Amino acid sequence: MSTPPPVTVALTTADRDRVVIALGGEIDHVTAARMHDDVLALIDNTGTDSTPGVHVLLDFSQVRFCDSSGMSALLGIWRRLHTRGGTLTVTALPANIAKALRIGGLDQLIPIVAADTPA
Amino acid sequence: MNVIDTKPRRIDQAGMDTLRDLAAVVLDELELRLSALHRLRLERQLREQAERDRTEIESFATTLQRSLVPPALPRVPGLEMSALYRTASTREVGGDFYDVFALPGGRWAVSLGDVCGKGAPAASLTSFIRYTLRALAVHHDDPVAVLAELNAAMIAEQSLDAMPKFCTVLFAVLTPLPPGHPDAPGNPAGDGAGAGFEVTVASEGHPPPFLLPAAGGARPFEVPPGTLVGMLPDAPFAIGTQRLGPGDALLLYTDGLTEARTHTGEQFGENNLEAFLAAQHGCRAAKLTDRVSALLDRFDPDRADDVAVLALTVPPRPDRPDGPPPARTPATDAHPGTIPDAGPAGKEEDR
Repeated sequence: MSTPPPVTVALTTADRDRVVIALGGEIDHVTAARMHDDVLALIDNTGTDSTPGVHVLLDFSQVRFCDSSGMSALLGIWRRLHTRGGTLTVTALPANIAKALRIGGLDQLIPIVAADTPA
Repeated sequence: MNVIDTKPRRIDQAGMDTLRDLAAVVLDELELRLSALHRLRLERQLREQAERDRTEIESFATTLQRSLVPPALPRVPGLEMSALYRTASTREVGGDFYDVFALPGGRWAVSLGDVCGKGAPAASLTSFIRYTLRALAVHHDDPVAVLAELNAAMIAEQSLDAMPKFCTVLFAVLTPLPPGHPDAPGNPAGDGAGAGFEVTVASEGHPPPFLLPAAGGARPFEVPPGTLVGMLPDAPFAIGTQRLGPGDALLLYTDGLTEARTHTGEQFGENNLEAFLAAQHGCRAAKLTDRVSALLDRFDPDRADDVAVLALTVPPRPDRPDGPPPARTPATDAHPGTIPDAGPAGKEEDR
């Protein structure tokens, strides 16, 4: 039995209606649910969740792997934010993850922005 | 110590102490053996229980798994088919599926896809998708309409889920070409030799299938990029159409094949797969899946994902006395054991 690959979720900045969260590690079917819950908990803790229209930026620069379960988690986060008038944006994606998001059309819901673009 | 003697004697205090010590030693030894016996029994019971649990879980997984693929592929006149289905774990059901079924008007439907996630929730949704596709395909002639309805059904099914799942799908409709078609062989009535099929594929978020033309080589069957099914309410779906003639092969696969890790940790990738398939020129359906199976055996089993592969081939034209025999590749036929695969996958053969 191998240990699940760790996934990390850390708050970078929270400023009124803008939240930046850095993700790291491997997001797969073992860790995706934790990533989903941790991200939503972080947003809740910043107190911005009650503000309608919170804009969340996920930084993928330290993510090594993200499979379809990870995308399902992203879709879940998007759905939660979307129902409250918020947005979800991702940045600094490794090329293969960006490609997977584009093939599936997930980037139509969750825009991919370049790493140096301000949130 | 003297135990038996010819004359009667009384035991003194020292003898009594010795006897007591000896009895204690024996008692200790007995207790030790008894407890060891108990432990042994307990361990055996636990082992048996674990074995029963494992068998039960595997039986659940196998039962669930059985709803994801047809028990056997149907016989389609003029088409050879072979499927390969591998799961990464016997205890955890995957989300890969495939299906082949008849449509009205002599047409055939082929579906193959991958639902995100693993385990029972993914498997039950996969089963839902497979049967929904069957029901929809009978009512809609247009593959785009079939997928649009599937998309709506999946969104409705998961409207309350925190992490909605989606899937990638290849949905193909095969329409037999009439025997009078220019590609038809000399004896159109001959079983197993048809003019081929017109293949319409809708690929939604799924890697395109590979076409292996009779003339040689391998290339992706390009379909306009679609959207994952079950994500956007108004997802745009598009299709591509190609002809599958005598000697041509079509290989549909899930990304467990291209995302497989070689022993050096690299992903096999679509480019390596294309080179590998080009080297299988002339293989019929069953041989193609055999070769892919042998290829998978060479990858890192610890990092394997589920894989579904479906190979479709139209039998080559029968040899005509006045013409050259159909193109074959002596290299691949002469050495069935060698699998020429390109790239890093071949490097760790000498382990």
